[in-house]
Amino acid sequence: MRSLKFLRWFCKPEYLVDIEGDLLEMYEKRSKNIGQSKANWLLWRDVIFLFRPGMIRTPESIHSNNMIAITHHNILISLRNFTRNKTAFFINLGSLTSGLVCALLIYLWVADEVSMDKFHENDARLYRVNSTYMRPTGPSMIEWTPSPLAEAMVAEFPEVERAVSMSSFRFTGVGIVSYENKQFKTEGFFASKDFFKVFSYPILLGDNSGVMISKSLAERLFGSNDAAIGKMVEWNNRFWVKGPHIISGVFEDVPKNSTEQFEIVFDYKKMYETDVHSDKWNGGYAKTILLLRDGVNIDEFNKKIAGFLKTKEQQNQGILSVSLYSDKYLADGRIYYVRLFSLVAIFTLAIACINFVNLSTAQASRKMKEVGVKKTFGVSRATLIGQFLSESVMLAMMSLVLALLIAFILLPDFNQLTGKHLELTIDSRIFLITLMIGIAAGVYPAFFLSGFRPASILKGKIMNSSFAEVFTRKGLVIMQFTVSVIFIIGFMIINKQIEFVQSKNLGYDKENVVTFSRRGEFDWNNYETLIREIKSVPGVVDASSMMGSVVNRELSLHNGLTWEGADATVYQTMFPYPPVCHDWVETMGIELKEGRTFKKDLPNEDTKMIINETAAKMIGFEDPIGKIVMYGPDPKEIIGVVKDFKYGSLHTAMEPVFFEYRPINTNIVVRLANGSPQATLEQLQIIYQKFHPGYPFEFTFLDDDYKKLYESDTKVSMLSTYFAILATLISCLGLFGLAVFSSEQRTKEIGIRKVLGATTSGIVRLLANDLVRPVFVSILIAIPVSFFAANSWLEGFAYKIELSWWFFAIAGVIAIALTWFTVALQTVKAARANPVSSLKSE
Amino acid sequence: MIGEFEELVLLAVGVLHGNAYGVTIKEEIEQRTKRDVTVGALQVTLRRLEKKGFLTSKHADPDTNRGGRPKLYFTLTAYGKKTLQEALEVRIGFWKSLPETILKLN
Repeated sequence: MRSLKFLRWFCKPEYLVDIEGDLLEMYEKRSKNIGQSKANWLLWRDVIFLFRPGMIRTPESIHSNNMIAITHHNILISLRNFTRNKTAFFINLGSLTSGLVCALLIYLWVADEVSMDKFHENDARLYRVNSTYMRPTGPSMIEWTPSPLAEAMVAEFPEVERAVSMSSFRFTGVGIVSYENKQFKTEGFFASKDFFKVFSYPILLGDNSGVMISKSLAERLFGSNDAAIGKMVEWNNRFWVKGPHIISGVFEDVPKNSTEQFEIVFDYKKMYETDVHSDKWNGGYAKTILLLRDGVNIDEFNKKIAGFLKTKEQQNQGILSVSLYSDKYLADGRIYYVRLFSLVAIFTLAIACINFVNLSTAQASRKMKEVGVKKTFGVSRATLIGQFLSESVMLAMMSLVLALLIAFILLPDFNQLTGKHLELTIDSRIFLITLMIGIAAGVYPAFFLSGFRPASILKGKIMNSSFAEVFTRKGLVIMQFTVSVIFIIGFMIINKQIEFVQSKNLGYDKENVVTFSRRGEFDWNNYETLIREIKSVPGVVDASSMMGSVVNRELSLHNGLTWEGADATVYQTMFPYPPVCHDWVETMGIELKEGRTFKKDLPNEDTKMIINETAAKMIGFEDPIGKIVMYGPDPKEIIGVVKDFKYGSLHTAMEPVFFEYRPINTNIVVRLANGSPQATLEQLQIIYQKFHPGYPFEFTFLDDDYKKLYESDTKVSMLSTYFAILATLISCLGLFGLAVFSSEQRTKEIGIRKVLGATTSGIVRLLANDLVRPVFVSILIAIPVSFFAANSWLEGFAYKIELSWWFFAIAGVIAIALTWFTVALQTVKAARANPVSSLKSE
Repeated sequence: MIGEFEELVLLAVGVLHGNAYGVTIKEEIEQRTKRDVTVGALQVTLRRLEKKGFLTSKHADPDTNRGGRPKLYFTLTAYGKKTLQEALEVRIGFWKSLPETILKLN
């Protein structure tokens, strides 16, 4: 009967028999008098009323097995082992902790990178429209599209549910928002009506009929959200944008894992008033984002829209395609780093685990007796495996606690290095991973140690290290050092390459050049006065202006050009076509090869053009001066050829550049004389503020801008340096442990050798050779691997260092030197010990 | 002092004299008091009284009628008898000092 079964389960055993008897007697009586089913029911009632304190047995006796005792024993044995082998314990703890710190930080970074832009509710249906143009360096995909595209696509393609235009680089970025006398630097852009419907940036107050600002900006400007509505602000980033800008709503602050960081959003139509070209079909003023309907086949959709631009504007050669909005962040080269650093984390952890494996198996002889005795008493192999695993898992957990502490301390620096806002959150996954690491580190030693035959151990047969065992241990050391050497070579090559890029002759002189842009509602006509005043400042060598910047070619114009004798496809190529002012070539320190540069006082300079050497080569005229290049329907005469210089970053190859003359630009470049620029800059500030009242004088040095181009490379180089050092350190720790152990094990041998006349250096060599040899092998393996890896990384640069043999040689020498040093530290001590003390005992 | 239910159980064990085990005690109390007694309450009380020393118990031989389970017979100890006596005296003391008018009103 089920009820009695229940009773037997919970009832105190000493009461059970007679109670069960009573119940059965009553049951029999009842079933005779009132029927079986009722008796059954009453029995249940009785049993349930018996389920009370005083009747229920105590929990220990419910599960009576010795799991708890075993666990207790395992913990005790592990702790004793830790205190007995302090060297091994600290080496293991140190290496696992450093491995975990590195893995934790990388895990946080990778998790953050992968989560970028994924928070939008419509994430899976958000697509970005790209247009592909031919460039002299090949086809190039950009995310800039004409402004009317969004509306046209909603109207003409049923697959598109909604579409948004966001202003491209020209009207996006850091600007100054001002209200009365308050000014704040912030980021913002222009976006069409559906912006807040397509993206998940929640609106807190009001609507987007006018200007939208973020909660924190509202608080800074007006003190509260409510006070913001209806206020009028001014906006000015690269261009001063004509108002009135009336705030109509407030949105929640943009989360950190959004690529778009902004605090202010303007109506897209406002842009049309500022730049009359911006609503045309042949510009690249907009980022167009589509919200597609469910179940759209992207390949077919891409085929459908490919030629769409041409149907609107014959001149526009862009090929359209869409790509998932949230993919772009990683696709921009970051996925490469995400993979790279994930690998680094895994390898660093592996190196730390290998230390544990090597030290545990090397010390097998110490545990042999324990295993032998336990096995004789009938302890199963599984229980022994459990014991050894619990030791490694305990160690891993201790390391995790330390690692969390260290990671917490390092996090602010790490955030600064990576430019992120990572927070250390402790979730179950971290513990799970640590548990797995503990098991991974312990599994081989556990099987190895528990496999001893008790009879042979206890008979006192010293187990000689088998060939397989030594082979495994050496193999693991080789693996460790292969990874370390690859890291060392990798970081050397990355550092060299970045140094090379930053010191490369660019064709212009990036030192002592200051750039700044004009702000506010300034008078275009006073440009000449401004330049004249700047030039009169002592310490200023020259001054001019251009559109965009020499370090960022995306900010300039790109146009299709053609010339006599060019083949028909050339016109479809977009050439960089930066407009510059007179004196620009001189200010930048670019060398003129032939002809002349733009002059201020000559008429019709806007029908002239200067080209670079690559362009001259491409055009192919023997004497290019005076020849005509067609810019659309406009003929432009070549008046000068300048030597090649680098426009943009060195990731791309040298390309043909055509300069147009534009007498007035907003980006001013000033060349200063060598020496301290402080006094000159102060003078410039006074002039700037005279011409742009109310705006701060914000300038950058060109060489800083140039460095920023390589910021991500610099970060990678710094990170890889740290990781290389860490990995090598952990490997050396392990090797040190092995050296300690092997010299301890061979104390007697060393004693006898010394007695028989061996020299200290001879003994050091004897001990060290065993450990240094695997490192040689690992260098041989690491060199080709790192050679191929470095080659593929350098592919991304148009200008790269030659991979010369000495990089590899230096890495090898470093590895060998470190190994020798580590091993010698211990072996010299062992070799110098007095043989008497090692031989007299026993 | 013992509780009311405890007193009843002790009395029942005394009444049954030599035939007091779970089922008979339960029936005895139910018959005399017209109250329902659950096995749980009874068993807990019996064990408690045994632990306090009012009762002793002894297993009989296994009984075929009860699925082979032996009965557990309870008998009063001297201490139990004395405690019952005291409980009775306390009550009699109360009755004696009860004013007659109250009884008449009843």
